[in-house]
Amino acid sequence: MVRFIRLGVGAILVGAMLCPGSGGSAQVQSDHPAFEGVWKIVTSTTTLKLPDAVPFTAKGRNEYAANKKMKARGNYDDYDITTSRCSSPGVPRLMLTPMRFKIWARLGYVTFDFEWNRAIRQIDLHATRQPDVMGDDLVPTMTGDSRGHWEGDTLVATTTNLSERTLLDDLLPHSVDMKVTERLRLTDPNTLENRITIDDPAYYTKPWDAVITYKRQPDAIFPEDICLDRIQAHQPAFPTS
Amino acid sequence: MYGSSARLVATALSLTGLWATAASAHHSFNTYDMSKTVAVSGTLKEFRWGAPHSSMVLVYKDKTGAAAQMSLISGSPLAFSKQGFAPRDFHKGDKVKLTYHPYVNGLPGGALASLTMNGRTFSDAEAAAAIAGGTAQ
Repeated sequence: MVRFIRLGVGAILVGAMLCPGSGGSAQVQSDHPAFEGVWKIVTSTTTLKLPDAVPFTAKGRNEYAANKKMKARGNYDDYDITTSRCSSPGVPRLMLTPMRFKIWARLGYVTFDFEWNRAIRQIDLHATRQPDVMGDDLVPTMTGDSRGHWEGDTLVATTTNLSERTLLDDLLPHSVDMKVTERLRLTDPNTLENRITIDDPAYYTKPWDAVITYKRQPDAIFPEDICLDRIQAHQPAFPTS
Repeated sequence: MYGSSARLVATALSLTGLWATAASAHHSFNTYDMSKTVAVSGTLKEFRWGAPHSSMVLVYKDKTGAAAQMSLISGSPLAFSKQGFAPRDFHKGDKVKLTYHPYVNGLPGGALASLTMNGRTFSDAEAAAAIAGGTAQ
């Protein structure tokens, strides 16, 4: 009986820690709880940066031009499998979603819980790297390996091992050797800035930046979102606004 | 109390059963005609890495000379790694030569037997073992 009481108390404590917006308990395991909450991009865009401002290599420019042609022909499955079949947009494209996302910091991870297709990405804050079940750095993935640390009030996250099957936005290509650096900080209590640096010498002659801004939203439980249902209904898989 | 324990045991047993099914299922090559080996050349469109199996999409020319796509099942990332191939070695548009065991139902594609790229060849040990009778069902 005593054991059941202990279990019950434990369950309540765990539930309180996992429940966003549960007041003081949200701060238990987070050094920087101010990031936690629901956010939404200020200005909807499909473009991380205008192509004229992107320092393409010849390879990068050719692939970008090829993607543009395939987009014009509607051959999405040949270059953009997020649009054709709801594959994860990956990093950094997920950060362009016009839908909401929720941030929480728990157990050494900063988690981005996206309303879009209920996708998840996580930034690992542990000093030592967690082992990869598929073998360290063996298999590139859509959201890659994100590792982060705090520099003052700025969360600096570096993401590598990103699959070439993703795009940076709706057109910009990248290689598997790309490094994405994000510097996330609050410019005021309700405004989150993400300065994204793309470093990919195969496609871009020098690292380049884009800045995305998000506004805090009322706390909410997100409704179910099934991207494949949108495709079946002939709606955009990854909405643009 | 005993009811709860019994349910737990039953759940554990059923999960064990599921695990056993999942663990053995990937050894079946019944979907493929392992008595046939077909050669094809083409370009990689996509490689989906996973365990216990990966899969790839190959763009090739069909009998009429038109561009077509086929799906091929292959080994895990570790199986490739053991033969000196890493997932990051494979890129969209890479030209490859393959041999494979075709689908029994006649759909394009099948189970990868070998892959040659840039003068190096990967041989699928699991498919070879299935032909030898090691793990085929």
